[in-house]
Amino acid sequence: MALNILIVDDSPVMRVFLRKVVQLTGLPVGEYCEAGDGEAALKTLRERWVDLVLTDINMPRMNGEEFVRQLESDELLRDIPVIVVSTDSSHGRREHLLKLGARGYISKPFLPETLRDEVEKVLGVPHA
Amino acid sequence: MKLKKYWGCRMHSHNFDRLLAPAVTTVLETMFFSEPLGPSDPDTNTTNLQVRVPFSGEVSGALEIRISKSTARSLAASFLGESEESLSESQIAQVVCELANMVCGWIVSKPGSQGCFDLGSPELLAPENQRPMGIPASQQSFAVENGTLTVSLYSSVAA
Repeated sequence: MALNILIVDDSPVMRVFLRKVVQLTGLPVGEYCEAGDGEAALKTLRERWVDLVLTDINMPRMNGEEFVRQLESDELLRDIPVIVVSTDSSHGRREHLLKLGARGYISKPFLPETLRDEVEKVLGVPHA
Repeated sequence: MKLKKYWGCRMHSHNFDRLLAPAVTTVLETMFFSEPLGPSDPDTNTTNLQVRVPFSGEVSGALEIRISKSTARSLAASFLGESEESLSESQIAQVVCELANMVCGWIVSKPGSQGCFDLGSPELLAPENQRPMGIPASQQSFAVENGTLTVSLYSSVAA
């Protein structure tokens, strides 16, 4: 099954980078969409079908933490899996985001294999 | 949070010292398909790009990265998988901001570093603002493809 992926990051070059890394993983992707902050991401999720969200934490307007919190409190959106992609590799931050509702957490820097493993773990099936 | 009025406190500098080189190596190898070629003298050319990332926590401060333009262009091309000629100045600056962000994040969130931190947004410094913040707690320069990369870490203890 091809995945529709939403990439949420305030840095345009990071969004390009994440898209390229997803391509390198060999995961089947149907459509990419992008958002520059949590608010824009919520709007996109209400308008389009998305299978997986990759989100940064530090963003203007609505950061990744608040985005995950709002997603969790929305009955229509809470089942969409979110993987946090952050420069913060501390155990405390990871646990906090997972407790809020994120399904996965990747620390930058990371290898494409790490992203692929995390996506497969979060979605529960290998995507060849 | 109140910070001491001066920058350049040398507290815990030995911890930062041992983290700078592995941070730069890990980030360059993993995300930029590059590597430091060895230690180098700082390049003080005023046309260099300089990015500052503030952080706060038990120890607060800022990490600065200074990099020659040619190196920045080359690293940005590797990072984005594009040709050097196709990149805009803005894209190159954004990639250097990401580089600084990742090096800073790697250092401050390492177990055994100085506890829990919040990272601020990376800021590209205009040439007129590229003054040293004081005496860095730690500073190292690395030879990289086409130039030099200098990482400076300034710290200040929460009062």
